[in-house]
Amino acid sequence: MRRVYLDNNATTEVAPEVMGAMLPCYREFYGNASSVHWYGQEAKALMDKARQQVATLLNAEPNEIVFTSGGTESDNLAIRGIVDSVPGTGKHIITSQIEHHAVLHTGQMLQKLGIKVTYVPVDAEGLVDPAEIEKSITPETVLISIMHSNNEIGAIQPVQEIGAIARARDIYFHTDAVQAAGKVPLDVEQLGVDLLSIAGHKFHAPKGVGALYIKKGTKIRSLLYGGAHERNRRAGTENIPHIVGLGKASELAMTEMENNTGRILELRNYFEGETFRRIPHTSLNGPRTRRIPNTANIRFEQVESEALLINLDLAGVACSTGSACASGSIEPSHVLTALGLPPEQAFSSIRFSLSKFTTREEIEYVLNLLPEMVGRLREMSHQHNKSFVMRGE
Amino acid sequence: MTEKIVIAMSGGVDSSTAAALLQRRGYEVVGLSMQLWDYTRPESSNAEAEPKKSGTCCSLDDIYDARRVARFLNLPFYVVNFEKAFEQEVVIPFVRSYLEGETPIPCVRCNTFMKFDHLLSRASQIGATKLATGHYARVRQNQATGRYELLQALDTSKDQSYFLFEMTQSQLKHILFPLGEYSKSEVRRMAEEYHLPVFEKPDSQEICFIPGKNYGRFVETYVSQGPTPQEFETSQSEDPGWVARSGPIVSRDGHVLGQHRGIHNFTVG
Repeated sequence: MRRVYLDNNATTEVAPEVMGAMLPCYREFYGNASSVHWYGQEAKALMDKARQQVATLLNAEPNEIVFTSGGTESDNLAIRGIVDSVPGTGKHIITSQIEHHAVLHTGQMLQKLGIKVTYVPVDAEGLVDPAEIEKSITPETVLISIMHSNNEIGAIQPVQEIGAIARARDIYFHTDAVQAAGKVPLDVEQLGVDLLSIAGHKFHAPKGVGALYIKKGTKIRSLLYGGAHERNRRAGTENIPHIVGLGKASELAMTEMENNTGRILELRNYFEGETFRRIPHTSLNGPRTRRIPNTANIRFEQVESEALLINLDLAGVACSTGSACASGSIEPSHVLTALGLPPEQAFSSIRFSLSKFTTREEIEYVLNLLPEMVGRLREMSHQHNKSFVMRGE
Repeated sequence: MTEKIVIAMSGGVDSSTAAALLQRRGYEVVGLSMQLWDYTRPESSNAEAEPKKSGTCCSLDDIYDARRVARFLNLPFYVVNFEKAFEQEVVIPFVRSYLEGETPIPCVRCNTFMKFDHLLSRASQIGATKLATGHYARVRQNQATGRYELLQALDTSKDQSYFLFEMTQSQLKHILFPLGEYSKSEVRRMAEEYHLPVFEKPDSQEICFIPGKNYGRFVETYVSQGPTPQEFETSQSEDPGWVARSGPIVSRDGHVLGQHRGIHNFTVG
């Protein structure tokens, strides 16, 4: 069966160059980076190189990069690590309503411990207003955490403006850049962030590895206790193969970004434009321009997204809607709800996310399937509503 | 093109065997499980016993089992989320019924609304001609009248047709009960013969969203934490909290005989 993968915001295919860089770490250079001997030194050297590659991607110094198990750990380390290290009581943090669950649920946990958390709203396009952040600051505010780019709608937040506000008030500023890394340029100096999370598997490195940028001089408490790894900021034997993969993926992103971005953007815009042209009553969720280049969140009026998603999958097309709960079913999207969409509209939206591996031909395949599928589902929902009314009479 | 059938999979022996049977009859089979209730909700926790995690209709472990069986049979499988509809159309009427002193059977409403309305509609949306379930019952079309008739299962000891009494003609037309002709022991034997991973799993009996069967406690917790008051208007009172409250038991001539723990703890039958 023909298969097309348009769920690259969930995860991506590991690039062959990344695989190539990782394999020797399993067979020859399998040492523990803390060991004194040759094996350990080789592993350490590979890790140092990867650290430099990640630092280059973010315009940071290598000693400002801490390797983690991924985006969730990076977010947890940033938020809990800062809140725990700042002395005092009655602490307050500011975040937004459209953050990833790794941030939102960490915030909820902190609330149970007595930390005050403000979740600022977003506008109808899904953008945070920096003035709203400024308004929410209190003398107790210790941290602001606003994502760089949203995973569901791709909205790029005014990080730089928020960074300036945070700096002026001497408040730590963290950004979850998991969906931005490898897709748009990231410069920690320019953004004015103290902490920045990335995850390898969102840009062609494997799952289970990520990094947290921690600005030099930032005091942070570790989540894990054990050895002195990562300058005492993250105990646990370093996952060298994955770290090397993350480094390679960062290097690839640096060299290919300009080319890839242009191509992906063109394909995405073509897909979006054709969808709107061929299927009536479809529209875009989120901002049209302030958006990462690979993401299109499209609303198909009168279509239940869950049904469309299954139909697409049965036809070999992978995309997504909302976020998965423990059972694997779809939960209502807190992001679309925060945009002000009523439930029926939130439940008729689908996210398509492309990568550098997406081809024009794959996009054509999906474009040829969609109109008939959407038409059939609309016809059915119409029939169902009619029969429901008749039964109720 | 082969006919596409959706099988409602609960992760139990019955629906798993029904899925295998349909596949052996040559249909293109797609498995769906329903996510109906969040078992971490306080109403469903059980103070006396460890919350029962399986043997109900739609717990995480059961969905895990359904997925395992679907994978074993190489069927496409999806979990559909009907949590909101389940609360509105099954749980709230169940609680309201209890507060009015009735003894509701939520499984009937769950069949009517969840399986044979929402799930049937999902099935047709994904291109299936029929929805199959693991119920022990039979459907046949009366040749004289053209109407579809709901019949008891051949194995009357396991018959579930009673829980299906609300089904309409248009629903019956699109339903398959592949187990209606078999006895429970035959089904278990088939499950073992087909090496289904769940062939030894015990049957489920209780109301799925109330593990531990403490219905009174569920009603109290739900009312105290539950949704907005207007969703709970009963014929007795506009304040459901009033109904679920304890009070004296008084004889007709005015003697206080004791204390009761709310009308919902005293149901007929």
